Amino acid sequence: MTDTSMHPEVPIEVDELRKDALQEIFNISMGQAADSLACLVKDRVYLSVPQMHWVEKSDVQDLKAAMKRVPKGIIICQPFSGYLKGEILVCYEQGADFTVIGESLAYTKEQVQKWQHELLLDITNILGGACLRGVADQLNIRLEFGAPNLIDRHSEVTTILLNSSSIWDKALVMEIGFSVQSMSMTSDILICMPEQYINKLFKCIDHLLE
Amino acid sequence: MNRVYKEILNQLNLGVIVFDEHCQLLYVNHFIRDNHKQTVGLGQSLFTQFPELPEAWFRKRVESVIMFHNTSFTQWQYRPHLLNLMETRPITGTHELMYQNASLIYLGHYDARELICLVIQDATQTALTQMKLAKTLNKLNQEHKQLHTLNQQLKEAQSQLVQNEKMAAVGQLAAGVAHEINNPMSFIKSNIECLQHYTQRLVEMGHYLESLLQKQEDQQIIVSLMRQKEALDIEQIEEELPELINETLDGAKRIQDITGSLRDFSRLDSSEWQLADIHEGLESTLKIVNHEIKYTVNEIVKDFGKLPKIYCLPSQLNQVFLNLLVNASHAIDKDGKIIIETRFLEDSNQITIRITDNGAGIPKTILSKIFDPFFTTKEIGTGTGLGLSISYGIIQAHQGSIEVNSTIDQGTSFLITLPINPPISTSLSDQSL
Repeated sequence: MTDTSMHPEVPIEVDELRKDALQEIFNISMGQAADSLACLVKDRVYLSVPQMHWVEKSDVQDLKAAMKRVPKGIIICQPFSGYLKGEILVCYEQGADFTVIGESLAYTKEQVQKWQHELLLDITNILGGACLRGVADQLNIRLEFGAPNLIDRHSEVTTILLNSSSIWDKALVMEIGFSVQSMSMTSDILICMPEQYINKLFKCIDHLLE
Repeated sequence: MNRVYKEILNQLNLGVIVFDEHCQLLYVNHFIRDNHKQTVGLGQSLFTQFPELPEAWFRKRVESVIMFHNTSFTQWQYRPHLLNLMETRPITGTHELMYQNASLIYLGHYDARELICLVIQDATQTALTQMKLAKTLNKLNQEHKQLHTLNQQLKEAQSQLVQNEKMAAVGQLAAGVAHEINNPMSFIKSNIECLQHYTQRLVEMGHYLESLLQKQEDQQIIVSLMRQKEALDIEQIEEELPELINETLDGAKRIQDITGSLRDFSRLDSSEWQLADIHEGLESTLKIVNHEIKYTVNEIVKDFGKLPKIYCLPSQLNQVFLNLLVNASHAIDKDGKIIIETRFLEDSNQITIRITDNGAGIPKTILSKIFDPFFTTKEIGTGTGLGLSISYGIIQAHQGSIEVNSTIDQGTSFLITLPINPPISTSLSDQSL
């Protein structure tokens, strides 16, 4: 699935070149994001190299197989729009410790417990912003973010993607692992963009490659 | 054009506040001015103008917005009243403060300042509707749960009713059958007693005839008699006959005992308060339950003290003994032993009956519930869950008490204390005196 080209009319070499470029852009963004996040939360932040998946909704099972791991837990989504449009899905699994990261965002220990969902919404917002800001800067495009929302408390990310009444058919899914040393657990970020915006994305990349 | 923008900002149904990286207030639109309790002065710190704003947390958010050039959000669910803005409807509104969704937006770098904008959206209507919905849903869920429990209880009660009805019918039937059996048994027994006498006499007659024949001279007759006697095995018949009849008589007596006990137990004839011997009640109950408990209980120890007769409803007390004995046998897997102790407490004019088994015992967690109506550990349809609660009621009616002691894997002991003259009856007899 990861190898399937979304654009049969484009020569394979070009397609591969674009994918490599996209991967490189994301890698750079993640590096920058990790640095700024570390600065904000004053802790070591780890963001994995993004795994690129080209997904068809009918094949979400394949995504499940292709993903490094399929997390299950609190799922928060945040829409982004502008030149590109898509959603960031972040899954926080049970057992992660948000005390330290919460303190760095001026939440007391009790508030971390009491307002965990708000804290997670805020972390998602910061993460999403951090990860995509670099991409937007490199591509020289405008991106805005909507308010993050808690959409499920005990589901697998893929179950959310599989929802039969959702409107997408094909999408690009970037899978990123995120952890802060004090969190003692990895959370998973999926940056998803539906098919119709991939062309625009590639147009930017073509522009960069020229 | 600037005036137009300002006008737009002031006409917006949103609160707009602009401040710099030090949270120094630069602009507020009319929405904020109109709905805030105090007059807002520009150039001051955001936190002096809005002391309700949690400073450390807010500054951190501002920092992250500046760092990532992004927008940060708060929702009414978590921060219902970020700023103390008043509800827009002073007449029909039910809440003093406005519920708010807020966005913290990075505007950019102007004149050596980072500019940040806080946009407040009135979410009061949505919030109130949602909270009402959540409350209703919660109530519905609770009612649903209650209904489910009630339904379950109803089902159980129904199956118990069926079981009770069955038991009552069986009890009546048993008492009726006992009565019916008792009559033919009486004449069977007296006939057997008659037969016992008659056969004895017949045997004597045979012996007499034999001795007479022995005396006459015709050896032929004697030989033929002896042959016939041998052929018919008369000697063995003579030997076994009394034994056979005795055994039959014994069997008949036992049947009479059981039917008698059944009748005594159900006491269809007497459901009135009377002076009764508790030991008699225990004995007749033991006979009734014998068939039920004999498979698991090897030994029944009757440690009976000297008891006076007590004023009671004997058939009801028998019901209590029956429940306790049957429960005891159910608690036992094998090699059971049941000890029944009775004592007279002269000082307090009470008697005690203790029934102890060496069965599985009752877990501490349910010990307090065993006298509750419909509490049963047996499968639905097997136990009524009423036995002990009925027993409890009966003992209460006798002004007595029933206590339980249990140790897991060692057994259970029920102690019944009964007054010899329950206060009710005393007062009655006082009156009659």
